[in-house]
Amino acid sequence: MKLWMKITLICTAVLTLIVSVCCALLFVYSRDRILSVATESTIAQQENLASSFSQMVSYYVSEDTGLIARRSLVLYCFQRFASDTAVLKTEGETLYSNVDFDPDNLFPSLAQEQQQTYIGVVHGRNVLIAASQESLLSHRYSVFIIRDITETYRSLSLMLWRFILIGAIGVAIGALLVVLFVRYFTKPLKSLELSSRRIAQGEYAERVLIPTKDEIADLAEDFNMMAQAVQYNYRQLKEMTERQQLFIGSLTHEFKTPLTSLIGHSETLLCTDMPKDVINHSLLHIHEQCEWLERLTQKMLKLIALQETVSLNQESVPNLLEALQDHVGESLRNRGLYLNVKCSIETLCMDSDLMLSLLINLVDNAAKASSEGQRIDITAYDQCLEVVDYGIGIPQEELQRITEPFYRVDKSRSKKMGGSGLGLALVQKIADVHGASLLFDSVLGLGTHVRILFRDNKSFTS
Amino acid sequence: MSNKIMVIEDDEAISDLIVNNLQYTGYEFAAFHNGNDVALSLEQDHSFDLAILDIMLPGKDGFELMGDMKKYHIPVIYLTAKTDISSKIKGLREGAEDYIVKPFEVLELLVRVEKVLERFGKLNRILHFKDITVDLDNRSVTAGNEEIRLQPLEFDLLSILVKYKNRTILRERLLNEIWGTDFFGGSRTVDVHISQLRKKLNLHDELKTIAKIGYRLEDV
Repeated sequence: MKLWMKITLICTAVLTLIVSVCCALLFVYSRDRILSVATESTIAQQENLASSFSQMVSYYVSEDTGLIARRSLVLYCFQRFASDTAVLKTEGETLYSNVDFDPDNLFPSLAQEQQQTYIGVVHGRNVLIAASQESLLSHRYSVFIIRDITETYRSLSLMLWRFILIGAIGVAIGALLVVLFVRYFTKPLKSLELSSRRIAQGEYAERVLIPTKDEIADLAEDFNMMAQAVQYNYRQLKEMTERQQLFIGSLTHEFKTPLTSLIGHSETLLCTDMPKDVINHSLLHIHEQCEWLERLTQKMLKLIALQETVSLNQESVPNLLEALQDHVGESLRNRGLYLNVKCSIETLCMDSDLMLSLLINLVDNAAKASSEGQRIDITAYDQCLEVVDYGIGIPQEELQRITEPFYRVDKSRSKKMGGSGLGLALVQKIADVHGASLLFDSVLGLGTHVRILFRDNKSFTS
Repeated sequence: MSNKIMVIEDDEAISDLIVNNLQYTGYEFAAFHNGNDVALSLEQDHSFDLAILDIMLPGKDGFELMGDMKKYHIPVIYLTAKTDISSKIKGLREGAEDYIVKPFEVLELLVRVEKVLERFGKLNRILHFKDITVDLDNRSVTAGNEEIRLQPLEFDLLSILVKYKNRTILRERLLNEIWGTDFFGGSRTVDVHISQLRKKLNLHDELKTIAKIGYRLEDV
């Protein structure tokens, strides 16, 4: 059952109960009031009749009045005052009556000087009877006044029906209002429901807008935060998948060129009788391509292995730079290049093997960009490593993409020099696992300036 | 007169591969490694029958060079590592005659080169091998002065062997070229036709079976 239905039902039930009790109390009070007014006026009438009758009888009749005369006088006196429906009885005998029943039976214990009333149904009509017994000259006379209150009862029952009707209308209007209010207040829930359904269907940009300032608005706010987190994570996952697909696409493409050579040259060797020098040349190509594939796989393995976390320690920077010189010094000298190393810090928080691999890659790139006689500067200072060359530089619009796997600024030149297209991707990855940022500045024809900025430990801990 | 073919490919190993095989088959060639060189060279000399053109090139790329090729009416076969349909469609729509995706087999490339040349009427339609003459237009074969009657499939097989004489042709390649890629008869079928050719044309010495590889018609 829906929430609005539940609230409406409960409110309607409570409203009905309250209205019924109120109507019932009001009705009972009104009925009692009406009846008591009628009773009092009847009693007063009866008293009036009884006392007037008694006085008159005392005035006209004496002890010695004859029985017949006395009877006539009493009747006369009674008739004189009995303007309403009244009954006069004496010793069980009806002297006067203008009703079709004997009220005496209704008052079995009517006693001297005591007024009694009776309310009840006689011959299908509601009657109110007031009675008293008068002792006059050793005779007892019962004086009754009978009032037909059927009409009063009818209007009472009419009143009851009116109360029920008004109560019912009140409850209906109340229930309607409750429905409207509840629907109004639960409307935000409906929009929350629609929004979550839309999000479930993949519209992650969906948000709820609730202008009120209640619990539902708080809920909506939390809901929006959740939706934002979902959207963010979804986008991240999607980007990651796209990157991976792009990577696999590039990788396949990367493999195709060496494979074409391998297949083609081996087929040629198998199927033709080329001159000796052509055969050697083909074999050389096959050999080179195999080596190139081997290098590519090595780099790939390194890149994949780096996905795991590494442990970083404070390690010596001078030792790192010395190891770098050992690795690249010889080949740089052979190419007529000159390495200029400056170091003004002792340690950095790093994995020195990985950092060495990073620097070798950067120096390798710098060497490829430089021409004979040029210098490559390596500087280590406050949380920063720098590799600067004065070579051909990188076009501004390419700087964004150079760390993408297999992205090459100059495809044919880079390949001729043995570049895998993965060097800077590896550099970026190593910088990432160190939490360091990698910054490239380059001017065409003037050279390239690469900085590895380590996160400052002090600011990191504070 | 042999056909002259431009090879425009920046990867040295692949360029060498194509050039060596073209030369071996008897074509003349000119190799280029840079798009800009091609454009310049064409202004001097454009007497080429065909261009094998890599799409990814330093300098002017393959698509850009298409304009120059059209100007001098040189048919083009695109060579690329891109497998996506859109670049294939682009290549063909811009007027390439054919499209070959790396990695490819050498003989496949040679066959496509030959088909394009044939379409442009730039191929010799009469082939000779020793005293055998193969007329591709009339589909007739004569040995000496005597006409030899061959089955259609035997004729196709002989044409390929003569066209690519002194080259071992892989059995699978022969199946693909003559019987089609959807043929599942197995390589025994090839053996049967080869022995028929040997018998009918008396090629017992020249038409060699190279174990595990294929067949070769040798010009000894």
